[in-house]
Amino acid sequence: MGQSANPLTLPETSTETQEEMPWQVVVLNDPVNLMSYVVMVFRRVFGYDEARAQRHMLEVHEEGRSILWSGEREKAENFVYQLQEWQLNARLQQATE
Amino acid sequence: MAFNLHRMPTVYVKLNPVFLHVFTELVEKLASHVSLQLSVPMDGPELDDEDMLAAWQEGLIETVRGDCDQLLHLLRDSGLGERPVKLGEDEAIRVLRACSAVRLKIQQRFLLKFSDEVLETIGLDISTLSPELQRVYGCYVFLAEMQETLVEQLESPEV
Repeated sequence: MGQSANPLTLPETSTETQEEMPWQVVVLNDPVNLMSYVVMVFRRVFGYDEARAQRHMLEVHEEGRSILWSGEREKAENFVYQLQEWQLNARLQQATE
Repeated sequence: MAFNLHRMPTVYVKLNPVFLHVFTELVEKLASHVSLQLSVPMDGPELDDEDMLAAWQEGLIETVRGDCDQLLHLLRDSGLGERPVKLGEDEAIRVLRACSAVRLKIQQRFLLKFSDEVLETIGLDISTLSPELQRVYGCYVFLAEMQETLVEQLESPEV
């Protein structure tokens, strides 16, 4: 008795491509790292000017988190890795909308 | 404790040698913990990609180990506390990152019972702490002041 393939288990053959939502680099607040240090890190890692780096630092401090950058996963991973080297609590997340 | 930093890369720390010795011993111990378990949560690589996870973790550990070596070299072998010490920018950055790693470890191991507000403002009354906590918190504050001064030096515009 031969087995017929279950169509539900067939590999997906659709060629339709879905646009991937961007990946976000998120920094969470911690009570240890100094504000001036965090601003410096944002400037060095992302190349932001003082005002933008300050804005993100304050958002982290007051809101508990800030989205520093969004875009391709590989670049986002690279930023998160660098931020973790600087001892910041950085996360990678995919935008939901 | 006082810092007198002229323009980078010269660092001058005025600190009682006894305190410097105590802080150095403490940093040595904590640096070994930091090298075994990262001070920051590792988040980023796909959790099902074991190779990527391992490379990510090993990379971070290698970085923090090198950073802590630089900090320990500054504390032990550079003549800090006796004379101005020159640091290159890369060395200063390594010291800065190591200070953060060690301070995070101090917070995680010794200071969790204190509120974020108190820690953020470095507002603990040291006289209310046990002798062990006084040493630990003194080191925490010392490293913060060193960071503050290094950041100021690194970020100040060139003359």
